[in-house]
Amino acid sequence: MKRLIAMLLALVLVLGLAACGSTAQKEDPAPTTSTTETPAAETETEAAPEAPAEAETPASKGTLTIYSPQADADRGPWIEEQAEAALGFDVEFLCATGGDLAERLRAEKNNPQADVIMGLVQTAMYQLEDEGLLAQYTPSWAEGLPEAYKDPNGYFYSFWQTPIIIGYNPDYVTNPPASWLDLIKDEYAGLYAIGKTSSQTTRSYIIGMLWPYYDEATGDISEEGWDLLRTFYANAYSLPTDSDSWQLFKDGTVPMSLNWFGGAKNKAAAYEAPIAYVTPAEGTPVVAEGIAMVAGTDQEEMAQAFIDWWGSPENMAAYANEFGQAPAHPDAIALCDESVRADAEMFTAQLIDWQVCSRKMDDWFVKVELEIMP
Amino acid sequence: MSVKKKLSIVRSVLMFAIIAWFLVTFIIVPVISVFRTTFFTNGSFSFEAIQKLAASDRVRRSLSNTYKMAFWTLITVTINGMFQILVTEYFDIKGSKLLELAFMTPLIYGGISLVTGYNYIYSANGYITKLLLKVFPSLNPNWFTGFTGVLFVHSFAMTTHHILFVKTAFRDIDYSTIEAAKSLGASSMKAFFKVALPVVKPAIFSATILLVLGALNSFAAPSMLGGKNFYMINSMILTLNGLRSYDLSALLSLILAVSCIILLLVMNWLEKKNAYLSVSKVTTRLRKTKIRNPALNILIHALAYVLALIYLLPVIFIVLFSLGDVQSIVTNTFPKSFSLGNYIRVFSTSATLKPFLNSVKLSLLAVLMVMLITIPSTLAIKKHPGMATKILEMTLLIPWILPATMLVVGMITTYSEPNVLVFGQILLGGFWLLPIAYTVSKIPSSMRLVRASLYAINDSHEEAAHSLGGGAFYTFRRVVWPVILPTAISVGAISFNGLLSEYTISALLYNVNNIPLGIVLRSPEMSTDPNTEANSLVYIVVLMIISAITLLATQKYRNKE
Repeated sequence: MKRLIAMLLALVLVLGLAACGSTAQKEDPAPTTSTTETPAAETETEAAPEAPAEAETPASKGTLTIYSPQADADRGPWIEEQAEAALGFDVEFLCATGGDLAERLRAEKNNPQADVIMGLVQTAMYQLEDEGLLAQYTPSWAEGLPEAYKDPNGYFYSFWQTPIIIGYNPDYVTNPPASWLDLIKDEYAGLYAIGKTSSQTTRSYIIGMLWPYYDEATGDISEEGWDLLRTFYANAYSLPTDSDSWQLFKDGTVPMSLNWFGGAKNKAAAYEAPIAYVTPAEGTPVVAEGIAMVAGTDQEEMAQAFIDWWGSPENMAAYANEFGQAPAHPDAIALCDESVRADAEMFTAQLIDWQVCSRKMDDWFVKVELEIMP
Repeated sequence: MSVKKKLSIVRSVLMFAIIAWFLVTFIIVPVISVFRTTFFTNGSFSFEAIQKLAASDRVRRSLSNTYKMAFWTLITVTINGMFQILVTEYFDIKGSKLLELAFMTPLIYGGISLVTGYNYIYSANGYITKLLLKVFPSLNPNWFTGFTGVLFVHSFAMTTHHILFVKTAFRDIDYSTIEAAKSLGASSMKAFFKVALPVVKPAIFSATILLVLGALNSFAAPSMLGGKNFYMINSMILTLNGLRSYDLSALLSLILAVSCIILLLVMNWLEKKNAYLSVSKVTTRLRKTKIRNPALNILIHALAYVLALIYLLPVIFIVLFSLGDVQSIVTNTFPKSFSLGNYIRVFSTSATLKPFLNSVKLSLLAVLMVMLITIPSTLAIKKHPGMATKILEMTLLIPWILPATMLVVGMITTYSEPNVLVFGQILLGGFWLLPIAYTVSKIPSSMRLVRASLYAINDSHEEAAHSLGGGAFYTFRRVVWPVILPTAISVGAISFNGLLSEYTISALLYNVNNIPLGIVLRSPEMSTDPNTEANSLVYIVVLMIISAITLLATQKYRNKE
């Protein structure tokens, strides 16, 4: 009995040490600013790269941590590989919804874990800027970028334009809606699903639908707008968007997808489902994803190098040709394949004042959660 | 002797100073901070949050859904639990060992991984649902969603934990009492309900409290299966927290907490009213009863096997599909060939392997901390009844009545800034807050079970050890430790398994360096990588294996309980 206990305890200890040990070795020195961790991490890395050739020295700077909703299993590895090849240091991504990442940056305000925030849409970026979470940096590719993609205060710059679209399966939807507001018609009830409010895609189309009802005098959305949204929610398919949704899109159960353009296009292709897009005359919300340095980063140089590289027309064009996403920079668009250029011109942008929305949207979405959703 | 005594006093004082610091820092202060954010917006007292929530139909519905679900879970789990005890412990059923194994499967995978597994085969695209549709074309393909889906998961998954402790008590029933009842003319059913059950009532009571608390705080099932018409309060808390309405999310947590407290009070009252004590000192081992009525016999056998199948199917299919090719996993068609390809992919890539190691490390740390806190505390509570230990006991039970989400929200607001309590560090964003939160969440249940085992110690043994000259440490080692150890190991194993795929706490606290398994299992919905679904299955299977090993390794101790 006693021996067994001893053995078990030993096993627990060994397991514990193994678990701790293995991660300690694998984890490249974490870019934390926590006072307990940094000294150890630094000494470890300073000692290590002395032997190898010079080519490896950039790695001794540590790892650049980037928060980005785009760094999913699909695109993350590509970005990581390209970045590490071009820049010579390790890049680590944390991928979650835009809302979650913004929330994380806020929570970590006094102990920043990220060095770069990448791929959040304007509204989220303006909010972060208002809260002092971003650091000013003008990237090398700012010149020639249209004003619409620049933050007037110089904190963030946008690199993509992403239309938020209604995609439909033409095999099942023969009479597609002409615009977003058409979705509330009875004939489309149950044919689309709405994503979580923490997703920036969901947030963007909801803002797009509410914006026509924005009253400048009161600074808020009119009751008519809220009623419309109520119907929009009531008519939606019962399950939220999840991993099954493209299966359902293909078999006609939920043949409409409210999504960002590139995502819908890629997923439809992956599932071999036919897809067509609604092109509303009044435009569709086009969001622009921005990149910025996180205030308080301890990897300023690497962060700037990454931002310069990421937004450069060459890299943007390479990315666009790989994933079909339209760049914001005219020089980058010019370098793209013809199909990407055609996609970039397919939709007209709906006129929305994103800066105003960024200040109102938290209240709007609490209202959506508390009063609008069924 | 006196030097020794002084040393031991110094040692205890130091130990309890550390425990007290931990409890104040990670339980009491976060709770206070939640109250503060709820009622003091911009530095002055306000009821704004209450007004906002009171105006919301959705909040009211989420509350009523939560209570309704807790109530129905209680009913279905009780029925299911009674039935399982009948067929594994009371009646003589063929293959009852196999049945018992099937009923125990939720012990090896829980929370998010269990729901993922169930959803994989019971959802509209799932293999079983497709099969059922061929037999019953009128079945709603989406039956595994909303209220029904969540209740289904609760009814099966929660029963296992529910009856785990009832079963141990049931095995101690004095068989002669049942025999006596029967010889007086009672049927075996009547003997079960009138004689056997009342004896295990105390065990049923504590298990029921745990069950209803679990149902009230349920997160994984409603958030994955609920859909737009069924949502429970815990998901609302997480969503509102994400929208930066800290006051609203904190207030909702408080409402959930008050519900739990009321439940505990009612249960305590009921328990006192129905106190029942078994007086038999020497018990005859329970012998299984044969069912005389052949029709009933067949019916009960059939029911038992169907039930076992419901438990086993997800496990079998997850294992089979995890060995299949990615294409059949995505399209849910039965794989034509089997290989270890998915496993090799997961374990050869550090990106997919890392969450695993993270979860093992975090859970192990948490379980060790739980033990370091609960064992000395429970000993002290038993040994020195008084004001101080009463407060200690109450504090240890706080995480039980307050939802984990609330404590974590409190931790976030408190430790996102440098704090004196943690020596001026900012804990948020670092490594430690996550395992600490895990620890806090597991303290109450561990403490209750450790305490229960402690009360089983015969005081006279301790006295005997003392009077024979054994020091306090000697008595502890030779008398107390052997009794606590089995429970401690068993509780540790179950807590460890539970934490491996924990989601609610992790979602709020993980950072880029310690992403746990629960988070990874939940993210396929965001990814377009065809491998993610296959990876999830592999994770679940390996999780099951680790958990099963943990349980097997500790079985020896658990059986002694």
